[in-house]
Amino acid sequence: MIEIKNISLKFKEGKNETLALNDVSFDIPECCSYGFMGSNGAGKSTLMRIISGVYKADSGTVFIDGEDVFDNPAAKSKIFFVNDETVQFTHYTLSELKEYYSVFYPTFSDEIFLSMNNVFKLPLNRRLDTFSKGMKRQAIVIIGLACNTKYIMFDEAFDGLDPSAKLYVRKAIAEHMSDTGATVIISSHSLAEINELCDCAMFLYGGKLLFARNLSDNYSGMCKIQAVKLGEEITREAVFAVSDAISSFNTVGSVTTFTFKGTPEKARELFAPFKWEVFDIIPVNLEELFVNEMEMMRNEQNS
Amino acid sequence: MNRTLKTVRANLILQKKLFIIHSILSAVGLGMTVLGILADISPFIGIGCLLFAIAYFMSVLAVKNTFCDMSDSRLCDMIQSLPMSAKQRYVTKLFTLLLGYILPFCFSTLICLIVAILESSIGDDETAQITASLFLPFVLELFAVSVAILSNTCCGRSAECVYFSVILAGLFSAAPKLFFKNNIARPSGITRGLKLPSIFTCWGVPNVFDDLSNFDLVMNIVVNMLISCLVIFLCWFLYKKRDAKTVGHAIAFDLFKYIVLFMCTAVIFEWGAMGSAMAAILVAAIFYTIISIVISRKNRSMRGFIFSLGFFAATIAFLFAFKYAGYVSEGFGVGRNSFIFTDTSNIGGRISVTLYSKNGDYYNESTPYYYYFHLQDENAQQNELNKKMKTLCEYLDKNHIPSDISFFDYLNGDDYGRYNVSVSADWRYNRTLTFPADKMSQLASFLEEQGFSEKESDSLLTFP
Repeated sequence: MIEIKNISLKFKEGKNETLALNDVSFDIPECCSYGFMGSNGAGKSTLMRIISGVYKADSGTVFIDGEDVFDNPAAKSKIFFVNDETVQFTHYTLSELKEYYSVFYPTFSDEIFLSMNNVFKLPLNRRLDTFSKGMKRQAIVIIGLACNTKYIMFDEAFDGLDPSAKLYVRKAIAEHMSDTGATVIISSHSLAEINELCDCAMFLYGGKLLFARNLSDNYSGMCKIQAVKLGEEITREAVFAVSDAISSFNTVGSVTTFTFKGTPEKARELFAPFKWEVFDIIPVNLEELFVNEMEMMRNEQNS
Repeated sequence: MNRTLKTVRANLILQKKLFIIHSILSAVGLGMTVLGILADISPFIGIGCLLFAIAYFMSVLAVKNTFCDMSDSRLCDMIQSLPMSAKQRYVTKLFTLLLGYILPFCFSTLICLIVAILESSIGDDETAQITASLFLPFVLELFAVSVAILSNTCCGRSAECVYFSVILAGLFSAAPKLFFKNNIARPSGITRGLKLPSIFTCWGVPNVFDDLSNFDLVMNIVVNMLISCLVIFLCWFLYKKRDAKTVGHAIAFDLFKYIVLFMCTAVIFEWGAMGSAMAAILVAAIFYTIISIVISRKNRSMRGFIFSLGFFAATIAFLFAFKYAGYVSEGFGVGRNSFIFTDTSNIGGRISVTLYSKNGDYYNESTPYYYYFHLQDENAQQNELNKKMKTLCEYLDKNHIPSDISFFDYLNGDDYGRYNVSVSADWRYNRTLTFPADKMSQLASFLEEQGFSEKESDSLLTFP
């Protein structure tokens, strides 16, 4: 298990300071796929660098299977980090890259490497700088999976891939997880990808953790309400007068939809005075959750 | 160890072009230099030195490539996430430089040495000289590498890693001698014979060539190598302390930035102050501004500019204070009672007017007056001569004026004026003292009383 405890980190350049992560704590369980979500600059890549031992946090620690990861080769050998760039590998051929990484990772599997390359069919003896962006990304995915570490992190894993390559990579990752029981951590802007691939996800906003949960759970902290009041248009002001824990408010004729941050019971109780003809509570999907959390944060900041 | 060697191999594969070109340049450069020395063909020596200079610059690039995780965030992610500790990474980098760039230099040196010995009928002394000379390029390579490692551990951007390596090499080479000459030797009046101990001067590009006696050369080479190794060892602590967050920043440690800016300003100021103090300040200000702007790039602000201006002013004020202290204390006391005589059987000296003052304005006249005095008595007892010399030196030390020119004339590079008395018994030592005009006739009487005689004067000085 990866335990992330009270991680805070500031970037300083001269007199300028930027708080990249603010007291982030959550656990990444074994044998799961974990999605890192957040807008640009939210701190996803920074957190990944801390988890892989590249950055040392200003405060807090990251433990991989009980061992502090920073400057600890034993803990680092359990995790492989693929960042969102591919240019660093361009001087190598795929064969040389395989040789290079097999030096560092005793768990490196030639079998996985060959089977993966059979899927992607990349040339082994051509330098990576002659590859297209998508091919480079595929090459790194092959290497990452062949290193056969317990934890693999992909920062923007599907960036630059065409739809068919995306499908291949997704399939390869899913098969690898089921074959080896590895934990895969993926950061992506595409919520559909996270939704499709991940069991768990966390959401960062401005360096702050908004939630970290299992995606199969109901999003108990939030519910989407679809209500009908015949012959009357419910105004935004009227609903916000009852509670300010509302986002994504929309009304078309007599149909009103909005998201409420709270339990369904609380929603029924709070909005009962409107005497709705229909009052349905439907589960929110990941995308709605993402948008709502963002909106709530913005509202909070504006207020 | 196996992993280290494999990593070194992988690093060298990445830099194979640089590695091959560097090896060829250094081998051909060394070969041409040796051939030039043995066959006495100067153009070969010149071309050999040029090839060395290119090879040294390539070493700087090689260090930058080897320490690429310090200046390239993408490579930093790749390298620093590998299961290696900071110590293992540093050792691997050193091995890469050792095997890829330093040992080939050693190998070329060895081959050239064997050829030189086999192909010439040189004596033992010359063999030692040639051996030492052949080691100079290797020593300079080690110097270039150590300075580049220091720059790479302290800088976070590729450009800074490269140009700081070049700037620092120049500063480390020039600074000790320049400071010593301007602030100690010059105000002390000792024009010959006073030297900064080798330990302060031998680390740098031109300094290993200073003492060409075999022993001094070998000592300089050994000390130079030891200092380079020490710097590389100390860089390990900086590397360990260095945070990957500073990758992409011009300078990783603020203190380093100020040390470099201070050194840069000081060396340019000292160099310029040999001509004119105002010009020196101007040139130093231009260099300081350029480096500050390049370092800060997009992070420039009015507050930063004011702070930077304040730092420059403080540096110049410190340099003025330091120079003033050197001026009033005659080179921090180094000049006082510093006559040294190794051969007292043949003491001589001269009194001259090299700079003459009219209404306080100094102008140079080419030594219009001389008065040579001489003491030579082969029958005299050594003790007696020593005693006479001691008396003379005490007299000179007591009666000279510490500084006959104003501080600002001194700052502007003027030498000491009025009547200069130099005494020397040993060609390796000379000190010039300034005497007031009204004491010159007393000095003449004193010399006469002590048995010093006038010798072959071009034109007798008429004392006022």
